[in-house]
Amino acid sequence: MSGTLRANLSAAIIASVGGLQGWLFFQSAQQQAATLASEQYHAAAQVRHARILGVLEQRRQSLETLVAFYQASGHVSAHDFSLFSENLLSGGLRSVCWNTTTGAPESFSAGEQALCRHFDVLEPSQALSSDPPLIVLSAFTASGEEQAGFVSVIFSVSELFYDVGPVGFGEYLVANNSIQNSITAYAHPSEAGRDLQPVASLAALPPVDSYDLLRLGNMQLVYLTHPAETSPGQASALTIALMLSALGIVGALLVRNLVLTREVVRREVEHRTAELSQFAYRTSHDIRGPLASITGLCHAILEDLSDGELEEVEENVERIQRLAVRLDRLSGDILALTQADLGRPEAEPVDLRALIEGIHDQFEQTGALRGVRAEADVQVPARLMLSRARLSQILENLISNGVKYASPEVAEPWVRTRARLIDHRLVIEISDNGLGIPEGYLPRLFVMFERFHPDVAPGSGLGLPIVKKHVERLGGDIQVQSDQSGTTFTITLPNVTEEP
Amino acid sequence: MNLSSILIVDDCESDRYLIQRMLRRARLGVHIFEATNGEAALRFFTSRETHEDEDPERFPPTLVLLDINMPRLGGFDFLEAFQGLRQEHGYEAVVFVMLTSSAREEERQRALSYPCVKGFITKLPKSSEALLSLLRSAFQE
Repeated sequence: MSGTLRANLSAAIIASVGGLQGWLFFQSAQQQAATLASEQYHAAAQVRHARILGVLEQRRQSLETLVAFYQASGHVSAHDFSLFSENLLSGGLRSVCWNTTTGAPESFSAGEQALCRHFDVLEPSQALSSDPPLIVLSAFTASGEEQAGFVSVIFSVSELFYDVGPVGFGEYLVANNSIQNSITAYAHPSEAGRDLQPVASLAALPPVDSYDLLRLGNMQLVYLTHPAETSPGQASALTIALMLSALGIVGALLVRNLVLTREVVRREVEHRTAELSQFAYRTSHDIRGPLASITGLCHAILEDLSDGELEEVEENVERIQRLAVRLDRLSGDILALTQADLGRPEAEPVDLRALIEGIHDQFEQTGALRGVRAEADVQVPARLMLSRARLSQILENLISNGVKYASPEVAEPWVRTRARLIDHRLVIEISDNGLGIPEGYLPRLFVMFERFHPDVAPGSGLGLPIVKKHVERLGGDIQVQSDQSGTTFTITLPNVTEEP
Repeated sequence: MNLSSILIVDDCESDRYLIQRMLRRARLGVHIFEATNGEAALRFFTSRETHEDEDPERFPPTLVLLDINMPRLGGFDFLEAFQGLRQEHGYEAVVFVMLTSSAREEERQRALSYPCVKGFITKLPKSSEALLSLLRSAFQE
């Protein structure tokens, strides 16, 4: 019996017993929504929200589609909507439940519809009787009170609440009450009793056009949405509470939580298996292609030799050579990618400036710079706790990328590596004045085997995924900014200063 | 088979060479055009005036050998874009045969769901005879 099925059966049993409890829970949630929460939640929420707002300010952009932010070590990076859906899928999401009081899926925005294309779309009643949905999709602008009640109830059946309207929910709930034009924050229901405690009204913060959905349940997602659509409907929290209280959610939750931890592990395994399977398919394809060509070329050479027609033989041998080099490089990159994924990050004291200068020298000597000027601007302590091997691969790959995509039209092409220590975090910027990355490719930059300037430089398409794996294993974050005047990769790594 | 010309769309130069070689040895006696990816192939099809000036007998090609995995614009993306061009430019008679290194069933089905796709070849055919018979069966419908 699957984890979620067992969870639901247990939930249903307890639920029918605890019908009344659900109703009482709803009542208490309503009351608690009106009271302030502990200082601990309040302080943490404010700090976190202020930082996210700061990041959002920097990234404010007009949104027609939803942009999901991944939170890693407290920093965020942006991916586009399809990646958002892909990751939800690989995280185990199968169904999306929409709030019937606010409109049918046909009335969803393009972004919501795109999301729905990937998943089964269920009404709340369907969702309750199936595997618990990971996401409840809704767009509503209920009043503060109704929101609290609705949310408490929705939280009880989903791990993740995703809202495409002006309301967002997170580890603490962030709701934009457009009537009051303020932000009210609620604490995440605690493990023990799923009590909903409002943190505070963060009316002091300016109203924002975009929100973030912070870490919810076991999924780390931060998303950004434009509150352009205000649904005419009002969530009927009362109706839903009545529905759900009849099932006695409170008791069911406790059992569900226990069983779902196992679900999380299972999902992680599924995700990794899917990743591996995709990798195996692409690898096999990328190897078999050149091998088939080599076989064909050998056949052609033998045919020509037997016919005594030698004009094309030499060129065909050169073709085979080129293909062999490509295969060799691909094998090396596959190995590097596996090592990036599986190796243990081992930190030792490293002189970053010396490391970077060493890489520049090495490139100079092997001719890998190809006329591009390599600059270093390193202002960090002489000793940082870093994984030398991983840092080397990251830097070599990104600097090499900068050289590869240098623009032939620029008189003085350069690749600059800048390093600073900010807030105990190492921030490395590798920038160039090259061709830039076409905008359409940016979201898929770190996807394995994708190449975006194949005419410019050959490659396996694994360089950037290798970099990303390293950065992830180090607990860091990587971002890219690119246009026709050049590209900048920014890597942030935590825990680089030695313990005193 | 009555061919005006053939277009090979494949990003791998060695594969284009090998297929051309087989077509030459099959003595089809037609001109062979090349394109390195879907984007180039689209440009080829939308520059009708240029072609009609230079070689009206050969354009449009009767047969297109289309690789699936290519950078910039892959085979399937090209086919999507081409559907729009078909009627507008009178390319309904152009026959497509897809090429691929991996023969996944869903790729086959997807390819054959396009009305203009009449055949599917797993790279690379063993000989020019093999290629010829595959092409003949594509034109038999």
